[in-house]
Amino acid sequence: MEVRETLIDGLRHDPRYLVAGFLTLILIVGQAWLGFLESLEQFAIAVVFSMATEIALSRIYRREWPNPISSYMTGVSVGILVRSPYWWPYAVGSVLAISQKYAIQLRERHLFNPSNFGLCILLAAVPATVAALSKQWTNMPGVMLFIFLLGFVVISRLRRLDIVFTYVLGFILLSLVRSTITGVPILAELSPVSGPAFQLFIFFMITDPQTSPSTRRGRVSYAMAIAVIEALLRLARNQNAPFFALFVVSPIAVIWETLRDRSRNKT
Amino acid sequence: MSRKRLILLVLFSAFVLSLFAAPRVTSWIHQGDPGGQYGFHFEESAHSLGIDFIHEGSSFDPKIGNITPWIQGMGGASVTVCDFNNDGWPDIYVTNGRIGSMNRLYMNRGGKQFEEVAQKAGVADVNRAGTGMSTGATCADYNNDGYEDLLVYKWGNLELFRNNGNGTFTRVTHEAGLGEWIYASDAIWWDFNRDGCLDIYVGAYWRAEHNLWHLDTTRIMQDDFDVSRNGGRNKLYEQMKSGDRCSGTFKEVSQQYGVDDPGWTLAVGAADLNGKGFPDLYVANDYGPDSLFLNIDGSHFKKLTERHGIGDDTKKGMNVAFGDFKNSGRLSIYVTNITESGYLVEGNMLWENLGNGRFRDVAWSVGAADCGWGWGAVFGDLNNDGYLDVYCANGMVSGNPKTEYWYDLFTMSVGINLILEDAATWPSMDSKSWSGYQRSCVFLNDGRGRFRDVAEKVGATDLYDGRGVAFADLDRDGTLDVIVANNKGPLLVYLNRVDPSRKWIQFRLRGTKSNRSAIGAQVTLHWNNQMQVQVLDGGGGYSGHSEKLIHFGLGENPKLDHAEIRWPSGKMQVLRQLEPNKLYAVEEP
Repeated sequence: MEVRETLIDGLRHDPRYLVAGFLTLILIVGQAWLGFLESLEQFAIAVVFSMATEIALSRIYRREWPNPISSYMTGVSVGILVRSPYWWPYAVGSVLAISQKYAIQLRERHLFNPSNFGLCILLAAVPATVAALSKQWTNMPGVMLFIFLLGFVVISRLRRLDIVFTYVLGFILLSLVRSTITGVPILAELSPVSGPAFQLFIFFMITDPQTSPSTRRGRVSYAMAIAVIEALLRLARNQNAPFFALFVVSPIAVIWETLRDRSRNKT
Repeated sequence: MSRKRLILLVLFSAFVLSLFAAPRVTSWIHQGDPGGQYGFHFEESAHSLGIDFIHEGSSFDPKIGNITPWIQGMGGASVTVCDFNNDGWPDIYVTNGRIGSMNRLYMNRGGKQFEEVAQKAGVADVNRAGTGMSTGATCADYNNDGYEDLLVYKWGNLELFRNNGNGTFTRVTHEAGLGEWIYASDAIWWDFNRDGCLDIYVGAYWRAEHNLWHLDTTRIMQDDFDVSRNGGRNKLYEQMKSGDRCSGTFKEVSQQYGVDDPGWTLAVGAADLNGKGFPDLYVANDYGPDSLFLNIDGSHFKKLTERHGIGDDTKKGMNVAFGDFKNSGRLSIYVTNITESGYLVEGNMLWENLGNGRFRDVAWSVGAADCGWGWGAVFGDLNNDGYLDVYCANGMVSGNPKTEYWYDLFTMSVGINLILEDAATWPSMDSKSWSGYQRSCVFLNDGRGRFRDVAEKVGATDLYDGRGVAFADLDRDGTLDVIVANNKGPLLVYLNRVDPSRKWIQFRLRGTKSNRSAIGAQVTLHWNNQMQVQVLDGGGGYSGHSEKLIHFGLGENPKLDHAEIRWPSGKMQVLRQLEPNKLYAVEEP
């Protein structure tokens, strides 16, 4: 009864259900249309390990049954973002993603976007075994448009379009700068904007309410910081620049906001 | 911080650190492996055999100058092995790429020396301006006169040379009905309808409407990196019969048979994969799914597509090779792809034939997946232990080793197809490397169908951009020697030295009712209570065509039982009282 009420209440008031719903929709349509998962088994492993880790750590450290929606979304993200021929990176990515929420905290708030953390550690540690989702969802404009429209609806409800617009604007401006510096054709530098992986990144990762600032000013600064760090990483020819930029910026944002709140509370 | 949280933090940190340490520890453990335990080693001997050939790349329209090294890299470097003068010694034909350059024909003089005779034989001057550049060649006795003829395929006009039987060839392209402009990456001889006359299947890369030397547009590229179908159309040329004889003329029938695959084909191969007696066709496509066409009684083809299985990949198929790697009596398929740390973890595909028309990719689980940017690959028992190994050439463009092109391509490859299709929007390659300086892989079979790369340990140490690979017993010592054609690099000949305690047996087949070259014949050898099947294919393998010789390694102290030959005509023949370390010349009864 309690679980049912929690679910109904969550569906009404918790925006994570909306995000989870749309992620699942993208997943189902994408899988049915393009079969874009590495395999259903690997995807299932990511989701199961994510949820199991959350349950285990929540029972140990909080002595409560967790709301499964958060770990479900993390598992789905890991299942989509990680590309590997083996099953174990999906399990390890999910375990890393969830366990860092409990291991690395500041005033009970975790610092990293969970799935991005798991992905970045895998990319840095075992690059011969794991790659990030990039263009494996074809180069068809329809796919990009589909994710864009869904993402737009979700993020409008979450009131986080300021992050999306700031980041996209920053990316475009910095692409012009990069093109000027490197001599690479501007269309090639701008190309990632039109890819489905980019849409997922802007709508479902950098907008994570848990690891992005709560104020508009903070969010705009946060999004611009991601764009700048990403541009620097791209100039250093890092192919996973967006993920590592988020990896760097999100803990800084959380720490900054936590310290600011603490300072305000003192005064 | 509570004690419980501290424990979690310590465990978490240890977990992360172990992830970083694991690959380095594994690499360190394998570095300690002693060499010399595999029963064979290679000696690179091209120069001492009298072979000094360096492949040259073509230039193209300056409008696509930004990606010229890439296009040159796709333009092949090939090696074809055939006994053109019927003296029992396999000869070597090598193609060149630069417009105006000459192809080479090296005649084998007793396994000790080779003599270059291409000009004299009339098969050198094939890369003339306006006719395109050679990308490969394949040989077969298409007119059943007892001499191996030569088909040179090109990014340009196909060329067919009839063997005159006196050391020279006559160009018969137009009389044969061939010669149309096609960006051929690979071609095979096969008798798809079992009428005793060899037919030709050609895999095409670029669309034929473009001329890479004089472009009207730069919108010539693939429209997708995963599921592209806007490549050149493949062609099936059926040899017509004149009474009971093969006419020597061909008719293009690919649409009629439904095999005009529009993928960006890099390799094709044919073998009977389902035991129905007719050769099936595997087409390996770049930028998208490969195609397996099952041959229905020679009358039509049925495309096999399995969800998340064969025919449903998003990889970069570059090679087709058939081999019974588990001694199961069934031919599996090896297809090379691209693996680049941090960018693409695709891996080669080894489609294990499970029987009943079912296949499963086991490459990663058996250790045959990662060979960098793979190209030509061939199955063969390199150490005569009774199990098929794989030699896989690799490497794309070895330019300035301090720079690489992967990042540039990766950035633009994620975009929509409107950007991709235009070559002018591609970042300039300049002198950058792109998966360059890779060492070939020698995947050694451990007898349980698992592979391990021992290339460095056995002497295959070159870092050239390998393309075509061919196997041949060049010196007739009962071992498979390896010839590797390198893009803008030298032709390498790795003579194979195998522990003499390991035995072998070879079969050279000659068809009578079947095509004379016996292409499509399958030989199943039974020994030591096991069996292995091999096929005599008429091409297959990117830019590499091996000697038409069936070679079985037998291991030490073999107990030979019998060999079954299924001729292309369908006729079965059983050979008994076989002895090891012998070459058997067998004529179709």
